[in-house]
Amino acid sequence: MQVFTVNGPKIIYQAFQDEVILINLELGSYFSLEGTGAEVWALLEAGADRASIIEQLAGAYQGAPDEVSAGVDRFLDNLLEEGLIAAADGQPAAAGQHRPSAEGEKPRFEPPSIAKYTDMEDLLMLDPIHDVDETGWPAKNRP
Amino acid sequence: MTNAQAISRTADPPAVFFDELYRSFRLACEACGGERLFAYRVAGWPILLRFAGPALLQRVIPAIEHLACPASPEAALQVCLFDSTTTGTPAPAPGWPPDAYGARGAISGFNTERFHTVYDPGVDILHMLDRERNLAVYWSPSPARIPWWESTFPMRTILHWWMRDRPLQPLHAGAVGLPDGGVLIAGPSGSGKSTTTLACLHSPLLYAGDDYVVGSIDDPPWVYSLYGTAKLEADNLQRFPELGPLVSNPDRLDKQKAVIYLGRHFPEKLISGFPLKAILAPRVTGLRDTRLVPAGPMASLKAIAPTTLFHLPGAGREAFAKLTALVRRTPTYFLEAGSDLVQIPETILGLLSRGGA
Repeated sequence: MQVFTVNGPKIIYQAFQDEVILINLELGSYFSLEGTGAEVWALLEAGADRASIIEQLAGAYQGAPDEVSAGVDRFLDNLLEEGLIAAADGQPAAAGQHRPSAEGEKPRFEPPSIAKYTDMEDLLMLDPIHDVDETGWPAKNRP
Repeated sequence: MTNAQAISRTADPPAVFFDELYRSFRLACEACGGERLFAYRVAGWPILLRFAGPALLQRVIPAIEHLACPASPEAALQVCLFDSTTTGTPAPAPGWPPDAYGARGAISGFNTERFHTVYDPGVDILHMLDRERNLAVYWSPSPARIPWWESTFPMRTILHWWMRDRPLQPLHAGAVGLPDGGVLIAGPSGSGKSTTTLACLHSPLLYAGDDYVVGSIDDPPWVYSLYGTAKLEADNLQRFPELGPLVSNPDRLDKQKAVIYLGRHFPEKLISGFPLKAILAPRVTGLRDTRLVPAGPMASLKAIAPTTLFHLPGAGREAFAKLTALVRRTPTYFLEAGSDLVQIPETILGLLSRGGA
């Protein structure tokens, strides 16, 4: 079985209801989880594996099983590619009642997605120190 | 380096280097006829600046002179400032190899539970803080190497480190308000912080800052003024024609933002702080009118967290927790700022008259 862990300490995050912001302190990038992204994040934080996440979302939303499955797969792969989470062998947590069955019509499934922001990355790359002068201190690097 | 020094460095390199650096500061003071002391109250805490020689005074003092206060016998933080060129006093040789400089100039092995050490490549200044003694050193190889913008927010790195164990956090944000309450103007560079805050200059609203202020997560949340400067892109200056004659660098606007020391020209308009009633995230609409649109805490956190964390060396999980605590307890609005600047302070005053809700 494969479960997921947040890639700390370089990744910090905060969830507010249906939104999550994640920040990569090493690279200067940050992310916002959209659609059902916050729900998937809550499930993987709670120790759910891929199959369990898909099962719970499929039960909570209107949508073809393939659509839910593909959306969750793509989202988890994006989280992994961005280094926000890591996959590890482990025992998934018992399936929780993440979303009680709603009375009446279920909401339409919105695929989880990630918005990536890179406007701060340059700050971390600013004027890297490569050269030192004869005193051992950084050489003057501006005209 | 003597053998004894080499052995000590092996034992506790940051402590030994800090002592050598502090010794250099003391020698610089002797070379310049003694220390020059200036006292300030920063976020309610007494701070003492100790200068060796006059060269750095004009780089540091103008931005914070509105916070000046009588010297306290028990300063909560002392910062020792010197440069080598004008004092004729070199800094000790770095206690680290040339490849020890990391992102934003953080020096590998010299950032510990007790010490913070950064050679900021953007401003060519070494910042080092001994948290145990609340003693910091701010060293420049030469004042000529310090860029113009440092004088608009000097020592922000040291202050950020020093606030780590306190319920305080420098915020990359502007702030305006009244004695009984005010607002943060949050957003990255270019988001409209300066335009919004300066639009309030001729209203009843008072000015706490346009770029960096200090947030307190005490109850109630509070905002403190830190720098009494304002910065404007040169082409934005035409929207504030009354500020034109007050610009401190009018001959360099082709390469620099216009810098105005508001503490000198409008001392009655600066305020030391106020309870935080709301956080506003400016959005440029291109429309004439200004309005507020309610938003959630995530809008505040997006507006304030990345830009604060990535501008301050060493800012990470702890600073993020403070920012989260602040936005969690404070209503957020998008400030859709219109071209009719008069409406901006009117809108903010209206919000404050309702207690920020």
